[in-house]
Amino acid sequence: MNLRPLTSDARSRSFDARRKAWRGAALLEVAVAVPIVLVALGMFVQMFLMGSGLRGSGRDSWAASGAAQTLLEEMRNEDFGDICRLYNADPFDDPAGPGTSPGNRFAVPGLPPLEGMVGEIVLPITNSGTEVVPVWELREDVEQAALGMPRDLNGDILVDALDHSEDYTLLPVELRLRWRGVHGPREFSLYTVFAELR
Amino acid sequence: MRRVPRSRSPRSGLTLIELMLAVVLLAIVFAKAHEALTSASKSSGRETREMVLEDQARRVLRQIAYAVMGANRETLIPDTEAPLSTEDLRFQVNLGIQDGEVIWSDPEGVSLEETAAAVFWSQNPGAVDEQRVVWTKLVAPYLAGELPNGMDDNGNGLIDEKGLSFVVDRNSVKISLTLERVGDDGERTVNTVSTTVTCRNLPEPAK
Repeated sequence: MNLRPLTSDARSRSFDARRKAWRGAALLEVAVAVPIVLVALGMFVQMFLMGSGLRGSGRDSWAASGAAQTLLEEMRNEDFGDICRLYNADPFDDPAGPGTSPGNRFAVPGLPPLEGMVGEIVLPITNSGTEVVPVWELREDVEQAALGMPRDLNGDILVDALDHSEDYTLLPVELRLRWRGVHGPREFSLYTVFAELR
Repeated sequence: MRRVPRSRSPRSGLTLIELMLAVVLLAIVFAKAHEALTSASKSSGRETREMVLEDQARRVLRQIAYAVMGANRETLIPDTEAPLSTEDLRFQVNLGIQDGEVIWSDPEGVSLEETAAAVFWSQNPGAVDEQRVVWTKLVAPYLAGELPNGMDDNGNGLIDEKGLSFVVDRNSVKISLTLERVGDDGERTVNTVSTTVTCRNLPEPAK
């Protein structure tokens, strides 16, 4: 066996070779690896956040639909002929005196409004007066396709241009809710028709 | 023989200080990662428990709401109005009309059994042939935020309302339900749901 001692040059070459073999990651490799790891981490975190957001979003939707259904039941609990006057935008025609009725806006606990209040009650009502002196009328001839209007509201088989807030037998209603959700503005609408059974 | 100067080479390994630094850094990183994972796991477990409880509360509330919706307003017992409430509502359902007469169902009831923390529906409540179906357990003794002290603690206009409460307002009934569950880690999860329904059944045959 030849056990010749390594010369200084040979030792140096050997160290260089090993240093090259163990030199670790080059800057380029690190530069590629770090973004990949960051992207993977980001996706992982985003997945968690999305899951959490979806849960919050579902909870909001349930709160909105629950509030709308509860309000419909409260409206149903009123005398049929008073529903329009109780839930329109006009505070001067309230059955128990001006400003005593809930009006056409409502809040929903837990839902942040986009502006004003979260909920709005939409009836086939139009302002036949002016902006300063409004005259709110329940009309059969308003163009509100979502409410199925125009349509006969007092059962006389005619669609006219008169105010039917005193003699309606059908009352189409839309409950519209708008709020600031986890992923941006959200909207929920519920439609129904109240009818007086005779 | 010429002495080779001692210099750091790739074969020299890590110095003690480098090793200590690395160990400390790794320990910190592992501790933080463990903390984050534990926290995420707890949070996820809590959210899951909340969702399950909320789902159960909604389902039972809907069940109660449909039962009350089908009831006849005139048969509601007791006729409790705010600020009082009841946890035991009895009613009858108008099944139809025969020869001009209303056919009534057997009396039904939805009640809270405090000892079992359960809500149950019953047919012929209080009678010997009473039949019961438990709709849910985990009902809190009092509605969330309420204490048995003769005051309205949670600001809902009711005094000392139980975990299941009914309040009658003309033709409608406001139903509130609080479920609570204590997890394995001792954490208490509470969920309260509430709705209002109007009795649909007519008191008399339509003319």
